[in-house]
Amino acid sequence: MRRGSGRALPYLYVLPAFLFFVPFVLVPFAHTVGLSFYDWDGLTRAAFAGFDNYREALGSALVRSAFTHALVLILFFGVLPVVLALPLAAMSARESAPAGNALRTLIFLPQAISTVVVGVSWGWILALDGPLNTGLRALGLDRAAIDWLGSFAWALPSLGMVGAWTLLGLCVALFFAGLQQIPESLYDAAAVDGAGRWRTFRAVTLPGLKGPVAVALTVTVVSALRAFDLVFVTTRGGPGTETVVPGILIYRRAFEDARLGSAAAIAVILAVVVFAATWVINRIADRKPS
Amino acid sequence: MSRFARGRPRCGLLSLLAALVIAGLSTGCGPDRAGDREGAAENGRRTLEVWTPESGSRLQLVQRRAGEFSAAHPDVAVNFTVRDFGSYPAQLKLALASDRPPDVAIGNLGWSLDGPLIKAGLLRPLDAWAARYGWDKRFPDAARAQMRFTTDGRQFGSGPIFGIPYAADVIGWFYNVRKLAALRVPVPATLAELESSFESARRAGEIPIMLGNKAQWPGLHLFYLVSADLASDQEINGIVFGNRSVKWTAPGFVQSARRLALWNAKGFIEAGANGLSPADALAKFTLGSGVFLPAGSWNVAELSAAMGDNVAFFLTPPIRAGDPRRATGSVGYGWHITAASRQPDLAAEFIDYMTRDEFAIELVAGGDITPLDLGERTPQLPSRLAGDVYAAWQSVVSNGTLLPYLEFAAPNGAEVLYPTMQSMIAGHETPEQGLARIEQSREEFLDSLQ
Amino acid sequence: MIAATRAERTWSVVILLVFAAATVLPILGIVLLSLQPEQAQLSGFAWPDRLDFGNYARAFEVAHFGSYLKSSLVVSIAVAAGTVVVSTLAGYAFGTMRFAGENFLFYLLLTGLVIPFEAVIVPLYVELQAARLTNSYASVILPLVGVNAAFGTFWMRAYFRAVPRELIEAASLDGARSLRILWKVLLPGARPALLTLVVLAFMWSWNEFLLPLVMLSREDLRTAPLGLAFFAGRYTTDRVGMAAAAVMVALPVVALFVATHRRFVHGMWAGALKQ
Repeated sequence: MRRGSGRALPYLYVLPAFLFFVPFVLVPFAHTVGLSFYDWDGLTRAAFAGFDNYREALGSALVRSAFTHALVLILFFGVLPVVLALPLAAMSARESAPAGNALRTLIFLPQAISTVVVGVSWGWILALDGPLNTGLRALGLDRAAIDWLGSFAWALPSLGMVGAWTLLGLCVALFFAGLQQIPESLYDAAAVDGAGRWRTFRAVTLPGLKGPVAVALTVTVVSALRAFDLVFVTTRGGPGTETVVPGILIYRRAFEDARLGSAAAIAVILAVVVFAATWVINRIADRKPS
Repeated sequence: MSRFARGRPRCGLLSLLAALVIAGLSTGCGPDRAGDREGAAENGRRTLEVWTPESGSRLQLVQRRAGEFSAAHPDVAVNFTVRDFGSYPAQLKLALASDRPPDVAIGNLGWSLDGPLIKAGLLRPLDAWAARYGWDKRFPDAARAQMRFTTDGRQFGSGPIFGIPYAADVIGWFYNVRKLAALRVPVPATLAELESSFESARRAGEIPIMLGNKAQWPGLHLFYLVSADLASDQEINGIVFGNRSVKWTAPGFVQSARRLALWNAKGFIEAGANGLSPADALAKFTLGSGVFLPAGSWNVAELSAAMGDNVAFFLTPPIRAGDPRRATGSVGYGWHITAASRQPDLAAEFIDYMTRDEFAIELVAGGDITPLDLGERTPQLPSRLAGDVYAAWQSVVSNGTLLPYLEFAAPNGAEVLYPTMQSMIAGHETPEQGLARIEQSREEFLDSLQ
Repeated sequence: MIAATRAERTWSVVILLVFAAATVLPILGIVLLSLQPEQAQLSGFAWPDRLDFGNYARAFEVAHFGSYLKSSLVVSIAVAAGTVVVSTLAGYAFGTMRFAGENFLFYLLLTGLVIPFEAVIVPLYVELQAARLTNSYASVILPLVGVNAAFGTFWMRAYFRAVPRELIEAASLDGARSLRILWKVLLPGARPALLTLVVLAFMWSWNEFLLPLVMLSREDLRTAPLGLAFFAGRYTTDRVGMAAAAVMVALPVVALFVATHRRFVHGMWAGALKQ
């Protein structure tokens, strides 16, 4: 491996990236951690508060429910698209290249659309007098035509379905690419062994897709944990507190209630959860197949 | 794909995190205000920075009046920053800490906004100017208490004067005249009659109460319309003025919440209320949806512009016919001078200009109400609706039945008070559960004042 | 590939079409809504009687969307450019050179992939306010490049690592210095990877909401998604206007994606799965 024309050379190449990363991401994150141990309203002196913010957050029903709601969103944003995308990717792989590409591109389209646009649009679609309910009523299902985003029971699942709609295409695209990477020879070997459809799927396809599944789960789970844009633009956490998620709480406490230390503590907890989830997913993906 | 590639020591990442935590702790976070404030004098021209959450016709009148002030003082420009009501408290606090803080700002009474700002030392006491301009003489008794706060932000209703109000408000029932007539019910004179008119409306296929509760505070305003009858003065004032022996779980509030949940269960409230913004609900009402619209008097101009004589107004009727009507309202939030302002005298002159009788007359001529008693100088009211509202306001002031807003009792209503109201109305939790939660959050706030 | 019977293939096509339709229908509905006349009473997806672009005109004139789109363009182009430059430089070093602390530095940078923005925004706001940078494009551009540098470096490093060593060795034996090698030898072949990075960085910064929401309170600086959120919040009853605004905010990125999707897809999947 060629040494740079000076020992400092590699560092010079790496410097620009760090010039942006350190002051605008790393240092603020460290500050958030520090800030979480203080009580500050952004105006007057900050008062040291030790672990009070954490104690309050972990003991608060509202904070706990924010994370529970995030968990529900993980099921909709992550598990559902991944499960649906596996067969869809396989099916689309059978189609001729142009047709398959076209279908996959269409299904991927929501990814390119800003979540604000997604939220505003679905806000209209799910309205009491919106197209979804109009369709339900046309089918005679009047009782099902409710105020989806205003319903205490259905607001969170509705947002979950919007997220699934957004992320399905990403999973399909990832799995499709992953399927391409699985060598034909493995399938041939399985066929020679007389393996049936299901066994081939479990023994060849699934393990081969471990990487893409890990990526898909990581992206979707982190998406669910961080969901702010979608909630902010549709329900803002309502009705009641049914769609409050950690991102909303952090924003509200920092920029509406002027409780910056508490917001920081929740942000740190969120970061820890995100780290942990990423780590767990990748750990499981790394495990060698038995 | 593995980010933590096989074979790499994972403890590297842990030590990294540890380093971050230590770094973060040692940086410590204090306020970073360099106390750097630009002088607002540029080229001999002075700019007065004004912040307000107003909207609609009231905002237009305010800005026009401010323009007249500017015209009368050629070297002064008035620069308005307008933010929507919901996010105004937060945005104002951020602005007060920024490098261009406002000179003059509208507040909101009690601890909903004024209290925290006063406690943080961000607003100036106005007694000296009040004496000079006679502000304390201008307002009726009902107003004077609400203009005062102790400088430690602990006691609302006494202490120096901090805010000067200019436009009052009262919450009541707007109704579609033709629809009510079509129901063949008389205009309700008692609470029972009001409820039976809801029932008649529902049977006739109309939406009895049009409500847009997406913002969550309209539900609280609906609560006020009921608590006006079902809760006592002692209960309401106890909450608003910080009397710890009175609790949110008092019988009057429980009954009010229960009544609302009952109305909702009976289908009296618009089914899609939680998905409708207040502006949406008002628009729907003007387009013919709903018989009653519970809302504040600041909507008069918009409603009469859209519905003409087809809309009228009354306060919640009493339980017993003939008793004086009680209503929630206020003399209005006040103009404040910020501690950060470098031109307090100019600011005071501005405030005086904005709160004089001439402007009150303009507001009333536009359909609004004011805390000042204009007597013979009361102008012609622009619509029948304005007449209804004006008469209602006069009656509560003269009867002494003006009730303060419960939300004055604490800041951060969006965190517990508004969502809990919404969930009690929907029957998602019982009045006992919801009110207990509100009480708990209130007690935490009162503790923090000590 | 697992073989499939004819019946299965028919079913596959049907199911795929159903999902594609389900995905596209809401989008189509909004586009149609945006073309309805202003006073239309709408409760469903409906083909407009005639195509009315008036809502778009209104969004430009009344709701200042021209300004919002301009702001978004400035920010997104700057971020995409910045991201590509710093990521390529850093990725080149990480991918082809050996130096002390390279693992530590790389992992440090990677934490940027998992740190949620919410955990950064509060002190970032306070710091940028103290530096008098809030309400400027810089307050959005600089942090976004910082965040994207993490993914971008990871991405370009993956590409550079996959380049055959012989290519680099040969060039350096010829006496070329590292920068020349990068510019002349490696970059031409890196087009798919670079294109993917540019598109992604542009897309992410165009669609970014939380950061501009916090940093930009002046209306003339608002980016498009922010403008849309405020517009939808203010003019709640103007649904056709909202639809037109939504289409305008989404269109640039969707168009970019559709235009580049073939190369983009190829570059992305190949690169993502190389690891």
